[in-house]
Amino acid sequence: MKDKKQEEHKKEKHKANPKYIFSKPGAKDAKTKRIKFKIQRFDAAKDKKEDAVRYDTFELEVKEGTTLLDCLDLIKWRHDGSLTYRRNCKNSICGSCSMKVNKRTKLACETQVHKITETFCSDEILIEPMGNMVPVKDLVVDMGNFWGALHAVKPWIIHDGNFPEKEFTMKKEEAKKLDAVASCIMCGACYSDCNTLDVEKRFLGPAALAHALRYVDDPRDTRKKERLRSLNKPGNHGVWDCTHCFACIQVCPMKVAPMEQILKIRKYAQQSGIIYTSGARHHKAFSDGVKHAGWINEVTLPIKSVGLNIVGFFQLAPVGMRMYFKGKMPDIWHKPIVGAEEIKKIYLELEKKEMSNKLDIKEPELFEHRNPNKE
Amino acid sequence: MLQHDIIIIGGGLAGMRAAIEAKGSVAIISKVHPLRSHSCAAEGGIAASIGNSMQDSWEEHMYDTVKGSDFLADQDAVEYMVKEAPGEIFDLEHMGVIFSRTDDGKIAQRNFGGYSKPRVCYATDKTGHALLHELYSQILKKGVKVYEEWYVLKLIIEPEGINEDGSKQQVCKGVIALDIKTGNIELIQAKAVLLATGAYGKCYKTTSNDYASTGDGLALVLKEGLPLQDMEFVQIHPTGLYQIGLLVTEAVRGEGGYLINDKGQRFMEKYAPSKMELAPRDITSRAIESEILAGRGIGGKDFVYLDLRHLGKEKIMEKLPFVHEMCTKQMHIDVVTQPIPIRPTAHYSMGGIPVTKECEVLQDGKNKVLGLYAAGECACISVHGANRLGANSLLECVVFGKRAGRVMNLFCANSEFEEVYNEELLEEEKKKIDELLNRDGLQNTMEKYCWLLRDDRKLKFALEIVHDLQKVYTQINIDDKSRTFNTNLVEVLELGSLLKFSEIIVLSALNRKESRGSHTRADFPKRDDLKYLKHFMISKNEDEASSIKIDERPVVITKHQPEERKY
Repeated sequence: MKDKKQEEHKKEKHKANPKYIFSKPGAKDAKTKRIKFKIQRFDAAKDKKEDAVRYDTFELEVKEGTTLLDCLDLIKWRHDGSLTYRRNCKNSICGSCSMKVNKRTKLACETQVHKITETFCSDEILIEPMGNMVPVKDLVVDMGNFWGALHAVKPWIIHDGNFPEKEFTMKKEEAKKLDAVASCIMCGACYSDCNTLDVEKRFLGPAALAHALRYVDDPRDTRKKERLRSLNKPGNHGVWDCTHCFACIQVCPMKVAPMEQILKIRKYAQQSGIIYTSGARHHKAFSDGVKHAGWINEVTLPIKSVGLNIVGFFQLAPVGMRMYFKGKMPDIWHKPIVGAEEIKKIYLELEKKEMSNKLDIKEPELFEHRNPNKE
Repeated sequence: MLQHDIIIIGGGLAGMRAAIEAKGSVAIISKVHPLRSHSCAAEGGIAASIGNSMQDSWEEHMYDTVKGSDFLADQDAVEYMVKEAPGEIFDLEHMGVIFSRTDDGKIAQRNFGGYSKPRVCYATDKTGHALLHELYSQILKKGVKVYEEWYVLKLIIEPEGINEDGSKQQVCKGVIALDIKTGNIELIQAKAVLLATGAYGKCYKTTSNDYASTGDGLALVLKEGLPLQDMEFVQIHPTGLYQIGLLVTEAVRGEGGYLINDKGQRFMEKYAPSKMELAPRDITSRAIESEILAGRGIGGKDFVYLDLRHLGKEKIMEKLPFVHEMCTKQMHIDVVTQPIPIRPTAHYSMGGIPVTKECEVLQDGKNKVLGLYAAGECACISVHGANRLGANSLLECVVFGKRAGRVMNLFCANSEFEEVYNEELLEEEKKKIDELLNRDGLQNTMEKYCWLLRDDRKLKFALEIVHDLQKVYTQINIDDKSRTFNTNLVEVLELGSLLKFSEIIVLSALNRKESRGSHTRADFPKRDDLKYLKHFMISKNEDEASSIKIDERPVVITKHQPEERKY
């Protein structure tokens, strides 16, 4: 009887016992593995650029449940004190320890080393500093542009100053809308892996734009339209620079889904009549074509995208001429495909749904008349 | 020279709240980016008697706080804090903090240990994060200069005049700080300096504190000969993740979590029958340790369970998403179906830099240091006495951060930049850093300074380093704690031997002011038979540090008289 109880107890214990055994040498049920950490080192003090970067490999016996940050600490404390990286809370809330792990940006403090080796079927892990930012030393990068982009979207509530005596009342659904972006920890993972930033350094980047949405969605803010207009302005490198590659959604450790927030800003802007940008026009022309014939209208799409823009129109003309002479000109008559009627129905259904989700902007249209000093 | 009216050391809640309030040229110096400050890890909430879920008053909040402090809290400071609390919450809400809401759209409140009412305003279980990010936004909006990743090395405090009781009036005139990115060391002058440097939990192994919680502010005032107050009161939080120390927020118990021992009992009924799991932190921590000591830890081990399973998935995901996330990531535990193994963890320091109610730092029982202020966890105002109630720390940070900002404004309006007398200060700090960077271990020291070509300067430097190393040696830590074939231990003993006689090598080399055979002194290149044709015996008395005894023995010369050595 007693044995049985003990047996049960053991089972129960095993179930709830943490796998985290890093600090407990001698625990028997710990799987260990020899893992190589290939770490990019960077020393800006070196004269030649090619000397500045090198790769050091450290080998550690790692127990299951150990995080990458634990391993980096061990390497720093036991092998090479000059290894440089940022870290602080150890609890994926401060956003300090982002770095590229096998080419994808992750937080070191929440990255399980064993899991990485299993996913990549390799016992060597490549650690590099974040991308799209200037390296300072080893895994530390200068995040100046990242903070600059955040500053550019004015991430603070702008209100006329007539505050209620107590708190603003905010419906639960309204508050819930803010949840996704509110959990952003500004770790820079989305910025680091953003494919647009790779080619367009002036792009505000996923994190800043997600924050921009947060203030558009916040019922306390009174400059929504101004914000939308600024974020849609082509010269500002805002929402229309995004190429929907999903990279930011994939790497975000807090499930902020920045790309989704960017798409929301575009939608809000279109809904509130900010449609005079080539992005928005392209969007509409694309969608209208599909709605009416089941597929895009290749003839009108480029023209509608350019809009009433003489220079743009003349830039298009040579392409059109060449297409015409090579016999590649699409049919002028936009012929509906089989089942186009069904597609139209889907559209109408979706549009109905959209209308109920529309952003309710109460502020007056002529916001420019307000005193800008109040900001 | 860099100059600001107000310098705030630390970019957490207290520091940023003060910066928002401060006027004139304001700068924050922080060794991490402000958003990385440990305030962001605060989970549970911020207490204020706004009475959104039950009729409440500041008097009740005050009584709970004073009782929770075991009556050591200074009640005038507590009164100020709890009276300010509701207004401060509304201010924060107007700034844009995203609080969780009740069904009718007001700020929601939950229960916490030691409170008689649900009084804790929260933002799911990331309250600190919500506050910190919104305050940072305000800093951006205001355009406060942030020296991010700068480490303050020294406060500049010099005497100016005499106090009433005859003691010297100390005045803070600025700081000396190291720019971590470039390695530059700068003197930054200021009219007022605020210490908002936070906690020191890193002196314990099991702690909920982050890497940066190393009590640098406390060390800064100690270096200036200023006192610390109530340092014996260190809060050990009842629920830290077993072996990791990360905090499981008190909100878990506020929302109805159970503490369970090995026998499956809710053991808190023995220790605090009326409050159960919601007893104050000190009592709950002691209860858990008592259970563990009595052998009722889970499986006889040193942890108990925190059980949320009865709350159901929906409530857990809505109110405690971060706890769920943390347990999954750090322990592979799904709190919906499994209990969390927990153990008390070092969490908060009630003591700190003694300040007045106006956040002015005291140099003794009566006199203030002019121009030096402290707020937040590093300060001891003391609103927490011998034990802090949960959710009062965020409140302390914002209320006294704001107050410090206002008090500093008043001070700066009526004062000028004071001249720093000691011009050597900056150079001294630079020298210290250089020495630290150039410091070698024993072998490198001997090789650099006591090698083939020796001179007085090199040898004296070597002697200094060997003495330093000898001091460090007495505190050496051995990794291997076993008793069988402990080579780690043997190595440490061997190092002891090396350090002992190496000192004598250097002393002997210093003593022999000539060049002879293997011993070459650049400053005494010639052989000196008159003085040094003899053996020296050097010994050192253990008890008296500097008592070096030098004895001589003659060289025995029989057949060959000394002559010039030529080959």
